[in-house]
Amino acid sequence: MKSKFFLWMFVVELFSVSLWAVPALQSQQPPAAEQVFASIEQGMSSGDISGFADYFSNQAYLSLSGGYNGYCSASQAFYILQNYLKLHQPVQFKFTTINTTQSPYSTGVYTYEMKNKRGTSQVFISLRFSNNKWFISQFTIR
Amino acid sequence: MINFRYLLRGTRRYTLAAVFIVFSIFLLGIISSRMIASKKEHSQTIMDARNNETAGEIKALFKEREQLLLQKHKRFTGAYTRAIQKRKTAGQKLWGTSEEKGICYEVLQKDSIVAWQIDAPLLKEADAAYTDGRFFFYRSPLRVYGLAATKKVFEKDTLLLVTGLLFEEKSIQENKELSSVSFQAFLEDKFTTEIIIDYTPYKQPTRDGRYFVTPLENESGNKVGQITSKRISINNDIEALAKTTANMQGILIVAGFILMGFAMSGDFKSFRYPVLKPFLYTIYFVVFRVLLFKLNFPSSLFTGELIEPAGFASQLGGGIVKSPVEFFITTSFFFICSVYAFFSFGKLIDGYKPHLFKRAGYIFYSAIPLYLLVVFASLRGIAASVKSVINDSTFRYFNEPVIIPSLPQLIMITGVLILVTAVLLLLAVIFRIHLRFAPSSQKGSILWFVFFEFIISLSLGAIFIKVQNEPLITYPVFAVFIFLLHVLFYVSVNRHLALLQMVLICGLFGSVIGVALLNYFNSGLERDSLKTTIAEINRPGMEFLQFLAVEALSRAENNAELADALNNKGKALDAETYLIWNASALKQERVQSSLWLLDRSKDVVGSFSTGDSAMQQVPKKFVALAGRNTIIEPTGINNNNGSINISGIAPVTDDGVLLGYLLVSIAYKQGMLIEQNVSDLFKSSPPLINNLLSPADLNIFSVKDGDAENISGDFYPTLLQVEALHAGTVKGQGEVWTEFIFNDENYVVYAQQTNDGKEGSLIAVALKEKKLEWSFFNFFKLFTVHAFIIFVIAGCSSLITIFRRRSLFITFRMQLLSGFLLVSIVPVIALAVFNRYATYEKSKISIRAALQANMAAVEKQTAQLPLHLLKEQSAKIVLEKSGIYCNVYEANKLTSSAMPYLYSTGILPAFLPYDADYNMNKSGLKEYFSSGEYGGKEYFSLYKKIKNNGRVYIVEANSLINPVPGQYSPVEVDVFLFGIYSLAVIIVIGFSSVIANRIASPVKQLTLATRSVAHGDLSVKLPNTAYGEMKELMNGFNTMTDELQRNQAELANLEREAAWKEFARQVAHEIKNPLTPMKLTMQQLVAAYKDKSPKFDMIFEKVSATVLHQIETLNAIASEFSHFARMPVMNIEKIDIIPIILESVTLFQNEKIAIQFQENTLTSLILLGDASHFRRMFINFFRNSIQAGAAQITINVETAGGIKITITDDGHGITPGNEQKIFESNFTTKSAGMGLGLKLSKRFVESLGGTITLKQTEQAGASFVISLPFDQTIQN
Repeated sequence: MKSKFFLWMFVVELFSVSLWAVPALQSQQPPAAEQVFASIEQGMSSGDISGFADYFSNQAYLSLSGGYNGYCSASQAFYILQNYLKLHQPVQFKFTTINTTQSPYSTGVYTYEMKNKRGTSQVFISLRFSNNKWFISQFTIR
Repeated sequence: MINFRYLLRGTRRYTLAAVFIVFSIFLLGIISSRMIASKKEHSQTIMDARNNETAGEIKALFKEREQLLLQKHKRFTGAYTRAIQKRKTAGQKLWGTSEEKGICYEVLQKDSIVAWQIDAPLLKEADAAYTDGRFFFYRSPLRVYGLAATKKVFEKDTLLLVTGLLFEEKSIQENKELSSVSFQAFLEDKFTTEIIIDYTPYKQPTRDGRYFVTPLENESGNKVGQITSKRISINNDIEALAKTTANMQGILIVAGFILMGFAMSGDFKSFRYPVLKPFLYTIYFVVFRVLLFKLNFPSSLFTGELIEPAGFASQLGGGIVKSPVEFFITTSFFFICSVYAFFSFGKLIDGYKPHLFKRAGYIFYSAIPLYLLVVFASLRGIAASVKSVINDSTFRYFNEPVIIPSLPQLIMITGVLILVTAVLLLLAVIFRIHLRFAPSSQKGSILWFVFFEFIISLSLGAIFIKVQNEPLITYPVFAVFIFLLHVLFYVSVNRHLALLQMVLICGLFGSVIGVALLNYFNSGLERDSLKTTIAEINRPGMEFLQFLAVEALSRAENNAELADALNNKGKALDAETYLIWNASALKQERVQSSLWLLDRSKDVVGSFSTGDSAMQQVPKKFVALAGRNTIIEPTGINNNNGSINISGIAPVTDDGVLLGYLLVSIAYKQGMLIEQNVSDLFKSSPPLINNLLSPADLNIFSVKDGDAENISGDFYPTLLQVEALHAGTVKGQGEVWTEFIFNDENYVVYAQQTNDGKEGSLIAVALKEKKLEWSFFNFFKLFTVHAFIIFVIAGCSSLITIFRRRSLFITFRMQLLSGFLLVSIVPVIALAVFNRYATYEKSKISIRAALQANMAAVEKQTAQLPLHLLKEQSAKIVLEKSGIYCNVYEANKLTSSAMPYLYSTGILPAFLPYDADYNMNKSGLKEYFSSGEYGGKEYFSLYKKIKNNGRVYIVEANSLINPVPGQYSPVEVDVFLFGIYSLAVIIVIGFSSVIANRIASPVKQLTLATRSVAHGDLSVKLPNTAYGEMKELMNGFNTMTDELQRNQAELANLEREAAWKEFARQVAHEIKNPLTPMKLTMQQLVAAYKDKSPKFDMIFEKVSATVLHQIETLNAIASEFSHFARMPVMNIEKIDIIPIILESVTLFQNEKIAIQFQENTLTSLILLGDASHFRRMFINFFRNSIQAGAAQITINVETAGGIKITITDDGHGITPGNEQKIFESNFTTKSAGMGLGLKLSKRFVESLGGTITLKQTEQAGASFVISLPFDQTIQN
């Protein structure tokens, strides 16, 4: 009876460790900067930023026309940008420049519709590499 | 047949209402979909009607503004005319800015301005479309006004009195204090469609079918402008209807859920397992909170910073705290759950006695690790939450020099208070649960137990902090919190506090912990902001400058206003250029930038610059390159000072026709982080990095090739310090944190290697550590807010109590406390007010002296200038030579300024402020000192007349642009004084409370003891802990009660003896009466027998009759005496037994015993009995329990199976074998006492037809049950 109990405990622990280990293994290789920009482009086009929300750093610089301007935490950046895209409904977003050198950055044009009116904004995004991961250091929409 | 009475009884009515609401939700959905279908079917008709309605509403909104303006104009002209007629200085009313937002006034005489306000349009008479009071629009370069102007003749002068209402502020204002009026934006928000307003009567209406035009006409029917609106599509309407329906359904769902809660409340209360009740309530509130979150309620009712994630946003719970309002609501729900948990678990604990008493000690000790884990985890949870409040928020609670926080900040601060209070309440109840299992020998010594827990917590807490990867707080901070926590535990257990008192005390402790944590994490964030400062310095690279240039030049495309401006060259194109800069990203960035507008011939027709003189030079190379394409190129990279320059040019076209060019130059160097930027004037706060630090606090330097170069501040590192930084960055993979001492001050330093590829080059920021007094008043700034909230709650509670009692009962303690506070706080406040005034006045004098010194330098430099330079270049020359910003006026017109772009663009009026003009030009003063306010910031200006070449000029220097070092602003003075005097007030309140308590406590004890004596309890004793006369009074009282007890016993004995004697005499006397005739008749019978009397039979009959009669008499006498020996007559009446029990409980409130009612005990119960007998009986029971060593008495009153009053204590119980004897007369186990209490109680209860039984007894207490008959008919 006792041995069966310990056997089950062992199986459960093994299973739990494997659940933890697999994602840990998977996460060891960070995506390239191009992939990060690709996920940003997709998210901005669809208005759903959850695909690249994890890339916001804890002190990201956010500058939005008619909106927030300054440094904010990753949580704040997520909700600020989400609210911004709700107000400025995306029509189209495309990067015009993607530079993946030592300090990757990209520029693009964001076309949106707000209050029955269409407009465009210039976008600038820069990344920095830290702790084996890419982070968005600056996100400007003007 | 539906029985509505049944359905509406009790909680069923809530269920009925909830069902009705659910039905309404479905009905709403059906109605809404039908309406949407109908709209789609008749979309054209509906849209035409809607557009007509919109046009009507727009006209009405315009008319509203027109009427407001005309009303103000009528009042102004009337007042001005009256003032002139009375020969008073009418224009004085126009000094400064208008008190009415958006309204301004000016007075013209031909083309001269006679009187004006700073924000007046400053038009010329020729610009006025009408001069008979009719409404018209006036467009200045940056603003659009609605104006009304009336010509008035006063004796020989004809004046034009003008009133203006601001319709459009074209530039975007970041500073919330500055006007940001836009009628166009207002209409776009209201009608959710594109709106274009032409403030001219000459614009032709568009023929584009997607738009409709609404002409704007003044009261006289003249067209003054037109509004072109995009036709609203049916989809907008349908969306609006769907949104309204969703909102209404949301409100109904919330209402239904609340009603369901009421409906279930009865079931919750009578739930079989009381220990699970708090969990049921928690589940309900959690579901409720999630429901509110999903429905976006009530966030959808708020606007602005309250719901902005910029204020606060955490991703906890999928966004359930993603704004200040959501945070407040979530913490409030948590607080409600914790209060209920405290209340219900507290009652359970009090009524629960662990039956497994022998094992209770094992449970107690073995639960210590689990208990500590819960405490540590809770403290970590509080720390993590407060850290999130600081890090995930842009509110800077300690850096904004305002005493009264804004509403969003107040909500966040209150949320922190609620959160920490809730956690402390839960920890307090967990502590009490744990304490309940303490072995009995320790139970009486709560202080010892608390101390034991405190030591264990400190010891194991060190390990807890050590094992964490990222401990949120340091061990000393942790130790302080553990100490405060255990003080709270001791107070909560030792003082038997009511629920509200407990909440308020937890609130005070929670405030101390919460504010201390806020301050702690803010200091941490300030430290981290050094890293952000480096990031900010390195952020603008060449690629970003290129982006800024692209963004600015993109505004040349499809810009109708710009095209219009270039077509009409007469316009002030400096303003148009400024507007392009204002709308671009250049304004937000700390870069120097210049923009130029060129016409087709490449001549400069407009410019705006925030740069130095070098930046203001037009890059001629780009002018030459100008063509049909946009060109952007770097113009310079200087690695020595880290500066980078870029320029660009783009064509401005209209329908393919080239109209001109837009040219931009941008420069950035590292020192710009600290330089004052023009845009800073228009921002809501001084330039702050991450809004945490002022640039004045930062000391930035770079290191290249071993040499340190100062960029900003006063910090100059030594060679050793530079070497330490190098070594640190190498070891720390490119960055290092360290501490240096400079000029005997401690500095925190952060350094990072630069990305220029050069070895050993790094950039560093040093921040002086704050002195203790700054942490001190930071703490009080928020603590006072919390204390105020707690005070308001306590005050409201007192008011409710007074309202319920319908009488104002101010205790002796409260009178004493009020007296102390009045005597001490009033002088403190008076002193604070005086100090504030004195400091403010001194500050003004000092600012004036500094400005006078500036003025002296200006005078010296302008004295020898030739006239043409003086008029146009003087301010620039002064700036270059001495760094002082000044303005030069001739009469009241600006001729030269160190910041010419502020005036040429129209941002500030190019006229002397009217009050300065009046005092200097009209009143003839040589020097004039005035104060003003701009963007929420107070500043001071000094004006002085200077003579040059026989002409008089007025020079102005102000503290807005020339910062005067070392001065406290009035608000900073307020904060500093506030901190000091807050401490003084808190100390006064603390000492006053303690002293009032010490004085009032013995008086209260005496009052209660006297009341007990009045109710017959002579065994009450006062403690011997007072001093002085109070001690004598208390000793005297104790002696008095002892004497009374003794006398009462003696009197009782004497009375008993006297009663017995009297009784015996009466008995003897009464018995003698029938015995005498019995003796006589027997003697007669004996004599007759001896005499053998012939009448013996007759005598025998007579004697036996007499004897029998006398025996009957004796029998009657015995019965009478038996009746007489019964209990005295009672006063039987209908009484409510509950208040009688409560009155008896009150008499023991100062004794070391907690007497509580059990949950579910009745709150009212009518029965027949004698109130004073009942009172004596309960007092006797409680006194017995106290004498048995009980610390807790629980009372339960119920009516199931008759009235049962159960009194249970936790004393040492009844000795086995004495269970029946206790009800006998003269049986007592006490050293004093007559042993009659229980006997008399039993007799009394039995006389009412009830019984008293000893339900159970053991070493842990005794339980008596008083059973009485229950009569339902007398309950109402």
